[in-house]
Amino acid sequence: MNKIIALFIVFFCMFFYKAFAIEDINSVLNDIKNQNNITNIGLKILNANKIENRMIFAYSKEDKLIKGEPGLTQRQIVLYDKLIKYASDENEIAAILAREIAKSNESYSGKLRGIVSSAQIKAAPKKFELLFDKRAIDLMVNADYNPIAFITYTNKAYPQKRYDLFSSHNLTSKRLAYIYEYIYTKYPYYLKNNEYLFSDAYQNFLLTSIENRKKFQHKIESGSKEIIKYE
Amino acid sequence: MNKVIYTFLIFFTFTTINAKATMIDSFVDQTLKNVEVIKPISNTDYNYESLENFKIKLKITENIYGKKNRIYDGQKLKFKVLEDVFYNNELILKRSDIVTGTIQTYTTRGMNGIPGMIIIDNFEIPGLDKNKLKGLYVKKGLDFTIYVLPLKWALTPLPPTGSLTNILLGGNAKITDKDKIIIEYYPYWQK
Repeated sequence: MNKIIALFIVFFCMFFYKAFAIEDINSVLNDIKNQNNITNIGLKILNANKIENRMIFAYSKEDKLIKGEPGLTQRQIVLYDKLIKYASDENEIAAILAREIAKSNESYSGKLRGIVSSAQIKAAPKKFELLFDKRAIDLMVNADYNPIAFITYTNKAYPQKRYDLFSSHNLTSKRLAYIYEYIYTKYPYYLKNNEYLFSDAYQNFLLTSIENRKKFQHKIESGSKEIIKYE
Repeated sequence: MNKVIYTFLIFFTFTTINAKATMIDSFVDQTLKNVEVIKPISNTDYNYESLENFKIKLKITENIYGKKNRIYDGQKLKFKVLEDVFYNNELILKRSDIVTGTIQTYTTRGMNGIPGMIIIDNFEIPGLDKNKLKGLYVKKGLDFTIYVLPLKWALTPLPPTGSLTNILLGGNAKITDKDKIIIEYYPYWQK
């Protein structure tokens, strides 16, 4: 009887050891696949935009892999799981990367090998936020990604604060309105042939941006070039 | 006949229930309906092996000042070619030829001595492929952050004195005819 029990335990241990080993391997393979995808999309954006500054792309399951801002100090763009999980296609992953590339690229410009520019970005993140959003749209278009994905991703991933007067970031609704205006002005093709029009994320954007879009409509109809104060 | 009507009613009821309430972007439909839009040219067919290039020197025809509501994203600008451009003994551009560029985006000056910035891209030069042009032209205003930020950090332990540096503004960017803009063209940068 003891022999049977011993045999059963040995068999049981071997089976679970193997099962765990397979799970580990699958997890590693999945990480490699994610890493390769991110690197390929990132490099495509860099190459298509002729960005001469070096940057690397890292995928991380952890919440915070490196302390501080690795995109500004080490030019290492880290994509955390908590950001990727909102992305539903390659265009949306490109949207996250394009924005970080715009930021990281700016950290190369100016005095002291970009230290001053990086300090400016840290000191006035709200000011640079809109600039990087717009730059990201251009980077995406040059790399043949659909910029509407920037709207759908931002609408899904960023929360909405009550006010932004004393905040270091703009209201997400404000960012979305400026992005929409920028795409309309520079790349109307993507709005006229909108692949995302019937996606839930874009429909939700249309629903939640009615007032801002009315302001923009008024600007277009009046022919004004003034900057709109979106909410 | 009744069966046919019943079947039609059942079919109609089911399709109506399943239909989603979708919003149409009527603003885009109305304003872009009669506008011919073409897909922007992307640059995915690159090959950066070649180092061979020639330079095009430009200056703006009309000064611009990066103050709020004076310029706008997507604004077309005109530039004058400063010198004849030859490549393989062939005249590519003549002195005083006019080419266009676009304000990609701009920022106005900010607190703590942060300068404004104008980014110009999408130079359209007759006979040349824009995907073979290297880089953008970026012009910044006067930058005081190198003095202001250390002062701010030094004053931060004595609140609210650190915030006083917020009133120190940087300079708005401007592009005048004194600014020489040099862009490089790489004729073999495509597969």
